[in-house]
Amino acid sequence: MQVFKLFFRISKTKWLSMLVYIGIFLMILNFTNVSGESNSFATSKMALTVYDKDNTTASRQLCEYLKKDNIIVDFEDDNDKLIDALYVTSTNYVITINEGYQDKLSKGETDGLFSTRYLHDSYTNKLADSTLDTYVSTVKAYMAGGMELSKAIDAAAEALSEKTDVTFETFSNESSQSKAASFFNYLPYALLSMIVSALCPVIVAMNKKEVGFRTKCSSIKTSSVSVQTIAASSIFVVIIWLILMALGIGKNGGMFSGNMWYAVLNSVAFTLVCVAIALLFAELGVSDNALSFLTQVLGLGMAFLCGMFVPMETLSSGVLSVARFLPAFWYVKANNMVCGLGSEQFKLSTVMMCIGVQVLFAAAIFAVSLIVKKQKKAL
Amino acid sequence: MANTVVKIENLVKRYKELIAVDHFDLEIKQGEVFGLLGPNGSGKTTTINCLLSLLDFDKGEIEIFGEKMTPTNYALKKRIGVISQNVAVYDELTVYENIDYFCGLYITDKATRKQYVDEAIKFVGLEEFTKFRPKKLSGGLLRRLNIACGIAHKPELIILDEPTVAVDPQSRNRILEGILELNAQGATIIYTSHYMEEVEQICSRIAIMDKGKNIALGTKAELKKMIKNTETVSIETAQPEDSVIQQLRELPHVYEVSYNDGKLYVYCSGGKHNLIRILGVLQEKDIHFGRVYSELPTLNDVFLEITGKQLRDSE
Repeated sequence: MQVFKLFFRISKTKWLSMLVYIGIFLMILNFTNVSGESNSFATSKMALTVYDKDNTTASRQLCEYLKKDNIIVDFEDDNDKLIDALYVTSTNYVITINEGYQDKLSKGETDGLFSTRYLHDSYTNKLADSTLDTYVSTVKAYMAGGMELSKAIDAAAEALSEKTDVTFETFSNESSQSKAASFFNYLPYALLSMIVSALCPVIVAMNKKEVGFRTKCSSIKTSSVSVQTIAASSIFVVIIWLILMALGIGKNGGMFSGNMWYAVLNSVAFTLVCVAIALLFAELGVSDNALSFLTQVLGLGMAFLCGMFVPMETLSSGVLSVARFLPAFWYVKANNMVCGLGSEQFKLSTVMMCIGVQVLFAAAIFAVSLIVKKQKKAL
Repeated sequence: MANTVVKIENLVKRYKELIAVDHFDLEIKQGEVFGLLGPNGSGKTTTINCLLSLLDFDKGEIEIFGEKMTPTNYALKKRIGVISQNVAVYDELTVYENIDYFCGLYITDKATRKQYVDEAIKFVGLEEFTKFRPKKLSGGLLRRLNIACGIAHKPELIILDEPTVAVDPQSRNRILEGILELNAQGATIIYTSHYMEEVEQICSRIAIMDKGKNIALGTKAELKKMIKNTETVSIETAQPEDSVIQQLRELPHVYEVSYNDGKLYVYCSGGKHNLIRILGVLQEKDIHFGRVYSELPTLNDVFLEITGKQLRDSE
């Protein structure tokens, strides 16, 4: 068991770098969990700019109504200035109550009551449109019931001021599942960083030419050296994976249920990819400094290109086409399906295909490292 | 008669067109300190690597302790200790852990191993540095650690491949003394070097290698007898006239006279009082001279005479 023990003696010197990556991973998780809270409700207020060109009782009542639930921002009625204000979101929506508003409304006409300006489609524009439509239709509804305009406006204002209390009820462990989804989403970065930065230098140290020469001269069987190295590497990687899973359980509680087991399986497949990358770097004899750089480039590169740090939906088709050639893309794709993070619906065959692609990536990278090893021997 | 420890017959190793070891024969007896001397690139390390089955060879037979050496003859490997030219230790382990690890590749019993490791540490004088990592050690201490890792399991045959390269004189002497001590304890030693002084100092028998061939084999005295030169007289003086050089050449037992870098070299073969006769000629011609040396032949002279080049040409 000399070689087995040697592996762990050498790996002791790498725990610090792994702790650093655990720290970074925890920070990422904490940050995303805080920003991802979505179980509270508050009425959102829009910044509106209103120009009353009609200046009648009805138009002033509309202004009062809009003031209740929104913030009214005054700007000079200058087109350039308004475009600037909309651009920097000092105001979300500009409403001009056209002349003749009261007359048209009293006749039940709805066309040409307002002119509106906004910069681009967003939920605030839709909400503002909807607020005006609802107001006008409610007034119209009361007038259709026989009320005069002034009374209909009062009644509509009163009816629309009714508030509804909103509370979120959870009937499942959806909250802990969404946290688990976030955990599995960022997991590849931690797995890659920890495994590559810790496993690769240990293998490099163990494969050093000079000590390899001494080991070959000794009475220990070559097969025994290989078996012990493989066993130690496997246990080492399993320990890293278990540490990360324990972190997930510690932070999110019982996250392993239902489909989440596929997320666990997905993480195992990506772990294989990380091991293969670490072995390839080790065969290439990457130095400690270069390794640190490469780990960052790979980890962060895949995180941004493959949809870990940025949702896949927001990535351009060009980026996604490139990302397909990276194993993390398939991890994220499967994870999005399992955790319901993306727009794609869960489909077991697709999830298994994504996991299979990752295993193929691992096998291909491992094959390359074997070729490198053979080439080095031949030199 | 002592047992044969190493027997190499007709060994040939080629690297494509290059013949690294060329029909090499060697027999080393138990208890010998055997020197393998030759310039860099002469085939010493290749021969050692073939001996240890680290390299495949094209032709020949190698036996160690009467058994055929193969890459899987682990019982035989257990009886051999190897100290390589490059320091082969783990930077991540302490001095003690390194010796313990390499000893553990041969000795599985914990108590025995601990005893052997302690003895090896004492032998190389690293008692105060057991908890140091290799990067904290000086070059000389590193070499001693390298030796301790190779001998901790108490091998019967110890192969040292240029163990004193880039070592300060003090550490070098300590290493050479240690090798003689290991030999006194019963180990057979194979020592390769291109430093002829070291080989002369510790080896009982020497093989001189050049271009993969064993060009001379024997004790120091036997090797020196192989050549014409028995004494080289060197005199610091100004360039003498040709007539003086001719007169020196005509002296009895003188077979060559040359002048180089402010020194007159007179090579003699046999005879007594050569120095007195040479100085007599210089005084007779009223030639002033400085320091005078009379040197017995060295292994370099042997190498020079056999191959026509200096042993350290390649350095």
